[in-house]
Amino acid sequence: MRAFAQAPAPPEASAAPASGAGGEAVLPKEWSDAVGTLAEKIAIAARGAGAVSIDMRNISSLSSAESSAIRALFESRLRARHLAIVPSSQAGAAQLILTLSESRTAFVWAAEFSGSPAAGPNSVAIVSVDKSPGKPEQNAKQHITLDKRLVWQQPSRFLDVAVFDNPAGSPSYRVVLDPTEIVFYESSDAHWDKLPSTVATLRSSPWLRTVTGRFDTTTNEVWVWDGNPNAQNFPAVHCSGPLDDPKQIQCTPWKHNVLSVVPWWDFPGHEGATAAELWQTCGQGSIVLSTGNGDWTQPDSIQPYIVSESGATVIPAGDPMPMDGPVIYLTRQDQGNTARAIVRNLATGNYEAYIVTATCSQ
Amino acid sequence: MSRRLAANSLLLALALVLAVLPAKTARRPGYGGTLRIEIGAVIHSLDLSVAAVSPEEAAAKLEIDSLINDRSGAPAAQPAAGPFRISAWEPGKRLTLAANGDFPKGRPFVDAIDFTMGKSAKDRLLDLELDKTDFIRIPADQARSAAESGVRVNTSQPDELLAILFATGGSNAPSSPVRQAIAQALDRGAIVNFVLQKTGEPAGGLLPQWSSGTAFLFSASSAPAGAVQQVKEIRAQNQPSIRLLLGYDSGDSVEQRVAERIVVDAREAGIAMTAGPIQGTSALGAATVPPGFDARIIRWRMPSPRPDAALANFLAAFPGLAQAAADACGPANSAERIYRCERAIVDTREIIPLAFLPQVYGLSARMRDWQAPGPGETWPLADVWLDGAPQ
Repeated sequence: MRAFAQAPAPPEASAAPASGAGGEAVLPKEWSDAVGTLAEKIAIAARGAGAVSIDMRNISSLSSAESSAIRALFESRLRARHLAIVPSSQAGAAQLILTLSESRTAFVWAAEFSGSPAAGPNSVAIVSVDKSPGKPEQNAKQHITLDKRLVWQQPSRFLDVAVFDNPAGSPSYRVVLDPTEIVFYESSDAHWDKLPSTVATLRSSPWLRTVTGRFDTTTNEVWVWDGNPNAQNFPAVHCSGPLDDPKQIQCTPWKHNVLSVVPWWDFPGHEGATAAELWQTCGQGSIVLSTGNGDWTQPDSIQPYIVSESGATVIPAGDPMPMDGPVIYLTRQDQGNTARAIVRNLATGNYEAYIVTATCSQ
Repeated sequence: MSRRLAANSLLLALALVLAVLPAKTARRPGYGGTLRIEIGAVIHSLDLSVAAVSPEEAAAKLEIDSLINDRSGAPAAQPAAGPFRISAWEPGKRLTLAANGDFPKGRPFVDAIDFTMGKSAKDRLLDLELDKTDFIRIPADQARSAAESGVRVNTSQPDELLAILFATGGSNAPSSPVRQAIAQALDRGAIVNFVLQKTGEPAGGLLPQWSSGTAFLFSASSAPAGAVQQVKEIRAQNQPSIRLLLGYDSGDSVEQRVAERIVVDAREAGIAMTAGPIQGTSALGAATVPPGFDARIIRWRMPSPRPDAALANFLAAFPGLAQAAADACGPANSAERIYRCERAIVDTREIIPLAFLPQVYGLSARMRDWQAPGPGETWPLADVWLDGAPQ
């Protein structure tokens, strides 16, 4: 495999409606496309109806602003197809019920139509859009705003991921640290392909279930701890070599009985919170992100704190950011104001990696 | 200020961070201990190729197999060793599994699992309350009372369809108008609220809302007046009496109680329905209504949370229904196509959905990190640890 270089990540695309120039809500493209498809189906079914009245119900987790934006766009697209939208009290108009629903993984929007001779009594049109992992959570009202970006997910457990995003037109890469090997993926068109080269993280005995590990992309090192209660802070395996070239990565059991690297921002297990101090500061204090300390059956959240230089003052500095499952690992990125969080999504069962960005506003 | 705090300062800071967080009872996972499980099935052979005598036994064998065999490799490949090994086996009575320290995906937390077989639901609940066991299955209709009596109850998403399947094809098979009348007569709300004690959801379609997102499009309401009118019309067409025998699994108390409730609804509509047990439903297969019965209660558990995969499995499990709705049930991966296939099947009235049931588990206080498995998953007992177990 040829080596790959890291480029600055592209600007984030928001999945929630933003405010357009005229005050009209603007939906993400996937949502707009789906609404357009739904309107087209209804327009075909309503041939000859002339006018329709629309009742909408939202039984999904979409906000009222989002549902209103969807309705407005839906009506707009119907008008563009020469259907008049009239109040439901108007006699003679075809009745349309627009329902905003959702499944585990997608928003499902259904329009139940009746009143057109061509449509039949129970004509239903349905569209769905995948739920966006990048849908931003509520904004912080205090000093630190957290945002998250899904960078990897897979059904099986993994320990950490290294992110190499390149500009459009060039492939991006993910290096995934599984309990037993390092796996490399390449993407050039939003589809990830597993590359043939892998690196085994060899160990003389099987891993314990409390295994953790992390990439250090600045030093090109990989550390794996097995969570052995008798040697909690001693790595079990150490790998080194450029992470963009599997052939040069060498992994060996860590035999030094010294604390070469102490993951001191990490609290293994779940007796306490896991915390990560970011490289970037906020005012005179450090930014520390902390998970909750529930067990691995509960949704978790990440709370930003500002810790004074002396460490004596700890201030919650923003709203906690809810996650879709327990945060099983949290570590700072190797520079800047970001951290990596590994989450087990309780809804999908997938393991997910997020880049969590802390924005300090003063 | 340095970009990185001195370690001692940060540790102090993080201690304070923890101090301001709400108190939690969770602790760090630990190794050791024996997990005690009681099951209702009586298993004489762990070999999956040996047919089970009941659906309960078949399900229990699959769970045990997933603990001793890792079948996550290629389907045709020999299974690898699972997270546990058999250490003691008394067919029909007891099975003890020991943790496999060489399991590539990590040694289980518990040292051993001890299965006791042939325990009735009542005895299982009693033993859980007396702390004689750690983990049991609880019938859905007993979940609420168990929770109210202090049992630690864990419930999955509703992933099992309970439905009426009609005999078709024979000269005495219930006609479409008769099936329509029964569908209208059913009070699914009463089945869920009273028979199932509010554990479950009324079902109008084949897939639950959390999976398909379109379950709301299927009506689960009853129309008793419409049912009465339908029966009158049937009688007027030279069929003076409608007599039906509804079967249920002889070993399934939930099916029995639901069947008895359906009989009440049907009789109020003027249909002379009776309920009777079916022996050996496991060997019979889910899609077969045995001779002598006009319909039976069936359970179908989703094998996947994905609606397209689940529906494909349903069509394979019920080929008669798949054939009846073949025009609408091609390869389906869009929400609309899945809905149209479901709709076509339900509109045949050869199956009438009743309720979606969750899987219900009773847990001891010391059992930690248990998560109810989703559709297609097995009990994740390698992830479970016991609070207070010797380390």
